[in-house]
Amino acid sequence: MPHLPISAVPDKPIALSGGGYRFVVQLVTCQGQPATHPNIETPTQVFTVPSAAQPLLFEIGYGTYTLDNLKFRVHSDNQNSGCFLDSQCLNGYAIDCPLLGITLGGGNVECMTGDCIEDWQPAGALFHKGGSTDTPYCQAGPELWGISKLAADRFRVDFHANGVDYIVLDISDEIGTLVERYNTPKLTGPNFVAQLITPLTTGVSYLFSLRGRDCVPRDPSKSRLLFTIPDISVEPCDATWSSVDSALYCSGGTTPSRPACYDGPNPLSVTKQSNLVYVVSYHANRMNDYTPKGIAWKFLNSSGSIVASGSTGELSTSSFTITLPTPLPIGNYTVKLDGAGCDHQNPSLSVLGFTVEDTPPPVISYPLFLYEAVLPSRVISNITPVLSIHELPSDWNVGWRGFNGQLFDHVDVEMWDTTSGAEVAIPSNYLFHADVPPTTEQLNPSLFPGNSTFPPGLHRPNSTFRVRVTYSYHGVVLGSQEARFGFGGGQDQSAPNPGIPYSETKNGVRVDAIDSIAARVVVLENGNVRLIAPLTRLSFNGANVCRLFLYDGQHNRLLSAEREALLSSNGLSYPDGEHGLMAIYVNAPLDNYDSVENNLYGLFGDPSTYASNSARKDMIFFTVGASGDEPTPPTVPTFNSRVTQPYCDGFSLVGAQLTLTNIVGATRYRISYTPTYVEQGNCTASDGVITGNLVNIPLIPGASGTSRSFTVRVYANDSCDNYADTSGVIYAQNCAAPEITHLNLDMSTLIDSSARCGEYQNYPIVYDIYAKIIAPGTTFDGATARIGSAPGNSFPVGLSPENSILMAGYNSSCGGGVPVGQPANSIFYRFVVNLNQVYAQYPQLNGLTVEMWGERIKNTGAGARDTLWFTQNTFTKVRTISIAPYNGIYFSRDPLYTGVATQRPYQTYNGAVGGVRKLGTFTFNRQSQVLSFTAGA
Amino acid sequence: MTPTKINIPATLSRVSWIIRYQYLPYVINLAGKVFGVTNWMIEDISPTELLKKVTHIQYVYPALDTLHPSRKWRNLRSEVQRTGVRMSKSGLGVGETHTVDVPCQVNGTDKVIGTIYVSQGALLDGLSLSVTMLTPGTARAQITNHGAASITIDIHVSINIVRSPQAIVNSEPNDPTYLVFGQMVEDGSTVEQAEETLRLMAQRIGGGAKNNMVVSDYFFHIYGYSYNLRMSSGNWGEMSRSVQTQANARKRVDFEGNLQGEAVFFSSGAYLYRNQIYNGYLDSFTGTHGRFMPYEIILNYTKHYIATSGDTKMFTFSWQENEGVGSPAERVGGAYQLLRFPDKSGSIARHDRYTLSGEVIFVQAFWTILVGDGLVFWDGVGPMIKDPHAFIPGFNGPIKWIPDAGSEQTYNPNDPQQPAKVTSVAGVFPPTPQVGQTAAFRAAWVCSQIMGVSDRTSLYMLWATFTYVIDGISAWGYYNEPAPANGSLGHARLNGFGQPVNLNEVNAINQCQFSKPLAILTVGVDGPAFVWHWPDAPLSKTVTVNVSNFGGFSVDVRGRAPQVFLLN
Repeated sequence: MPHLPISAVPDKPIALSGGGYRFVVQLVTCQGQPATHPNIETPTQVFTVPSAAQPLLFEIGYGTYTLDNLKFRVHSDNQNSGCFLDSQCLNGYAIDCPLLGITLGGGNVECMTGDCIEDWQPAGALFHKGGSTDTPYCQAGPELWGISKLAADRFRVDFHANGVDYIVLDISDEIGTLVERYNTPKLTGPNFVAQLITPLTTGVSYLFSLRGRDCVPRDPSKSRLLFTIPDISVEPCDATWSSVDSALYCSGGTTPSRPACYDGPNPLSVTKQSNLVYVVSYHANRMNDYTPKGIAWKFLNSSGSIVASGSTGELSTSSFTITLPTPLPIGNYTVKLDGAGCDHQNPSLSVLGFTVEDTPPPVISYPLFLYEAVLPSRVISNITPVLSIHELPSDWNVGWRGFNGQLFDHVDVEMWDTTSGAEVAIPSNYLFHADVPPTTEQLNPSLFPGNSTFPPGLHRPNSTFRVRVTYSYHGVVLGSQEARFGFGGGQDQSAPNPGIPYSETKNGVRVDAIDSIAARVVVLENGNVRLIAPLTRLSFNGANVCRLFLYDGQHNRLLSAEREALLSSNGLSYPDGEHGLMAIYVNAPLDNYDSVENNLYGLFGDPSTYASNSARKDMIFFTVGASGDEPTPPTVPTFNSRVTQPYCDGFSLVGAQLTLTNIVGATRYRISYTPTYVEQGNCTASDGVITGNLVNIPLIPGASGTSRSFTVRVYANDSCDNYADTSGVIYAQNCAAPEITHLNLDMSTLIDSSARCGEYQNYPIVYDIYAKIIAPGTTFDGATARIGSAPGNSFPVGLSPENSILMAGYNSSCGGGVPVGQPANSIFYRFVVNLNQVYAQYPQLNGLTVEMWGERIKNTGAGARDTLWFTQNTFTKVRTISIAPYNGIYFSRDPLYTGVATQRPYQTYNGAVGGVRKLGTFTFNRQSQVLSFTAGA
Repeated sequence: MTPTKINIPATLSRVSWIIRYQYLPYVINLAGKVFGVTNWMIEDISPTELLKKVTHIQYVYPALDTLHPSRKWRNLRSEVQRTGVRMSKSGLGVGETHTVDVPCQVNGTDKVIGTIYVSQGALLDGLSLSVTMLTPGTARAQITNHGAASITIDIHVSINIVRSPQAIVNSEPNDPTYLVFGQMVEDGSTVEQAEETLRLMAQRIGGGAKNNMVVSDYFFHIYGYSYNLRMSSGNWGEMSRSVQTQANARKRVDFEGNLQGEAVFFSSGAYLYRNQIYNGYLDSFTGTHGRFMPYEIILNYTKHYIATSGDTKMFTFSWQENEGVGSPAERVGGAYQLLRFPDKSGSIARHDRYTLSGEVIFVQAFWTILVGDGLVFWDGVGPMIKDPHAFIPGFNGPIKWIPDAGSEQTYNPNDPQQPAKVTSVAGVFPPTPQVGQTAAFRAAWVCSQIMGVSDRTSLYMLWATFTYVIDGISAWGYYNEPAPANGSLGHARLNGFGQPVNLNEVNAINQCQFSKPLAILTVGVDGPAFVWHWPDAPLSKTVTVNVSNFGGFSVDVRGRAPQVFLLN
């Protein structure tokens, strides 16, 4: 990029009282008139630089365009000061770099790249670039978040952007020369791999700059990163590495032996469908371009051991299904993906953690609703000898609806002919059996396969049946529903009463009677009953005339007046109820009942005399009652039902319930914890009332880890007769209280004043972890603090003073506030924090070197990162910075500088700012290792 | 207290040829008491449905094989085969034996005992007869001449082969809830064999009579096992004496009502291991007339409770037919009751034996369930259907056709004006009106309302203190005052219900003697109820009953049937 000559340099830049100088940059025509450009906003913003000698950089944004008849004018202090210099007149000047730099002293305008940008940290752009019709701002980003060396000519770039489909990566050397430009394919994720033509040189810094192919970043300062090419490349180290930083340096830097995958595979989700079936969704490109094709997957447990692995073969979808031979125990796992024929370019993106929780059977709300089959009695007319399915009413279907979308996968229908009292099974081949898709509603299947005819005998009138529909999942019966139905005979199905010779209602009194051949009762107009019977009858042998004597159904005499009334035209008023009349004819004096009852043997029993003294008697049975008192036929409640399986709330299994909806005709229910209903005591009792069309019936699960059958009998009324049953199974998860088996400070993972400690096992229902740090010798008596949450099997605990006691426990509440005192259901363990043990692993300060612009510290410790404190002579901490564990690499730091350290081997320390060098001491946190230096020496 | 009458649904009282209650929606809950039946409308009513309406079904249907024993009752049978054989031989010499082998249809696993009936009633002098089993398939009858001269024989021998007690027991469920009666004596077993069968069955369960539902052979009462009495004897003094002591309560009672020796049920020790039957066989008018039944049931259960200190149960064994035992007038006369065909203008009339009215069965069932341990309703076993065209011939005599217009005719199935006759493999139309079983159910339903539905009975029952008013005339509840007579415990509680024995509780006797009503208060955990029954009540008059117990209340009653009021 040629330099643009600046014709003049302000010779008297106006110094500011706080230090530095202030300039205004203006775009003007070559004739010195204010100018505009569609891609360059007229620069009116004032900016400062700390030194008049430093280059003034201003940003014009990405994009390629041409400047004609324009030049930049730099004012000292303000635009109207009159102290300015102009660049050369730019005609046909192509702009394709993000920055223009004006060397105030040199008179040049140049495109600037290189690490000097790092020194220009004022937030925001110097120029705000207005919208352009051909290169608009990107919706968001692209921001450059990270660079990983996969190989000398292959780099992974992590970015963030929205609305950016393609990215242009420019790689420039330290002096701003474009080394390589890489255009991505269409983006599919938050990173891409740039395959370069020219390998980048190890140890050399390059500026990586991003812009959209079709848009420019609104804030270019976030889209570039100066990156020094490390001497090692990324390769998979272990399954636990999780950051770009550690990924870069997790091993000795060998190049993967297999080709790097083009893109991905990155696991996006792991979904457990059953104990054995998991679905992994992923992002990847060109997985089938390698040999072998597809994705190699591994499941690793929390210890990093592989518990299952395999390959997918050729892939055509964005997810694949894994079927394990055995269930995964409860715990935390990691899925790691690689190409079957290539290695993931960035292992940090190839892993995804997931948790296997207790696996109850699928939460299935199965239909306990037999569609329109609850027919206590059904009249079928025109029954033909062979009745096909098509001749039955169309609603003889089995269906299901209204469940929650989880699946059952099989439906069976069983049926028994109960007509004879024996339950004769209908052969199964006549009945519906099917695997079914996980649909929420299906009403079509018939009780019988569509093309079959009814079994012999099924269609006859007055036959009754029991039908049961069973729903299962993977062979496990989830529930069933039974119904009874029958073919009627065409008469009063509630209570037939054939053969009654007399039934008549008069004056509101109904009389039904089974008369004798010679004696009968009738109801008179006044509602009374009259007996019509002969008053005499010849004895069996015709020897005597026998007289009528009337007795009631209890074989007791009627009162004399009542006998007379009964035989009279006025009749006798009878009370409601069933009555009998016994009309005996014996050879006895008129109305002399005593004579009859005192001579029963002679009149009836003596074989030698009875035929002369008695005649055939008549029996009349009759009922007197109000008309219209027949009960309505039995009604059976109807409803839909679904089971909500219980879940663990803390250590309690709660929430099991049966929900009945669309209830019609039900008033109460009873629960029997048996597969079919078993009456327990009083059937008229109630376990709950039903007052509307919906009721939630709490269910009591069995012991943890077991299943328990239940049957709810829903009654239509207070009688025990009219009911419908619904059955199901409750699956009880194991909600046993977790037990913290031990607490362990894992010193190797101490991070930023925290430690990983407190392992616990297989406790998916632990939500909050609490710990308390107390001083030695004290007792645990205070409130705990919530320090972590589960599920998981470890949690961080803030480091405490040496020899303090850490107590940790857990609480089962989910999302609740911090409890006061010892959390309920907690088990606290205590251990002593041994800080000496901690510090022994910390890096050692090994030297302090003061170089030209500052001081450099050599860290020769091993292992984890640490925090570096800078203190002054008084040992007062002035600030803290975090430094990555660059073994053996020099660090240097400006103690006055408040920015976040970057990961570079060193940087200049300008101790001469303001002409005053700071004296200070470097101290590593907690180690009391002090190396002093004198800044500015 | 506020009395609320338990109204019996009219449809439950509707007379019917079929067992109609089995079609109706009413069910029972007797809180542990028994209502068992035999016949059911097997074509239309499933066992499941029937078991809502009865506590037990007689175990005579293969369909009940899988039904739990607690829902079945059994009438133990011992008869395997009854075979007649003619044994003829001329010149059977002295000391000679004439042998005839008879094939037997015997289960090879059964131990078989032969019993012998001889046509003449007794063998001639000098002859002996024995029957032995050669193999499980052959019985051998032998006549031996022990006389002084040869003789010619021509004897009809009935060989009745019955199973051994152990074989019977082995074929039955071993369950303490299995309700067992027996007709083994009628089948040909000796009383001793029948008792041994029951003893073995009870012994197999163990724990004594309280622990089982083994009851009795229904013929035992004529062999001295019964200590029931009949109030129709009018021997009121002996009745009162029968409840004075336990020893008296255990005594048999002769036809005149006099106390006799200890009933065999006690003298044999049977009461220690099994329960007692209450003879509910009602039979003919000659034995069942009068007001006596409800008083008699209360008295006999009182007697039983005193006799056993409440340690054994007593179940009533009943049926609805009148066979005319001891009453040839009724047996020969039979009944002609009309069976109407709605599609024809007339009815048919078959000659059959009498059926007892629902009215009397209701009384029997109500009181035996209320104060006793329950009732089984025995009957012949035959699948019944509701098609009246499937009627069967009469018991005796031709079937008549009674047209609505015209004179009666002999039924002609070929006359299109008359109803067709069909034969159904499913069963037959009931030969007699089935009012009895429905009435028994009706009684069980009423009892349910104060037992399982609302417990008004489990604690005790008490004779009420009351007066009653008819046509403005008030009368004491008891013959000498409004209050009942107290028993030995100083109160008028009925015996039973786990209460201490209340000797000399004679109110049932007094009320019957003086034709007074039965007015009883029952008390359970849900409160009291009031039971009224007056067999001599006027049919067409309303009776106002004023009870002074429980703060006093009044009810109006009418009719002769038991009536029940909840008191709240």
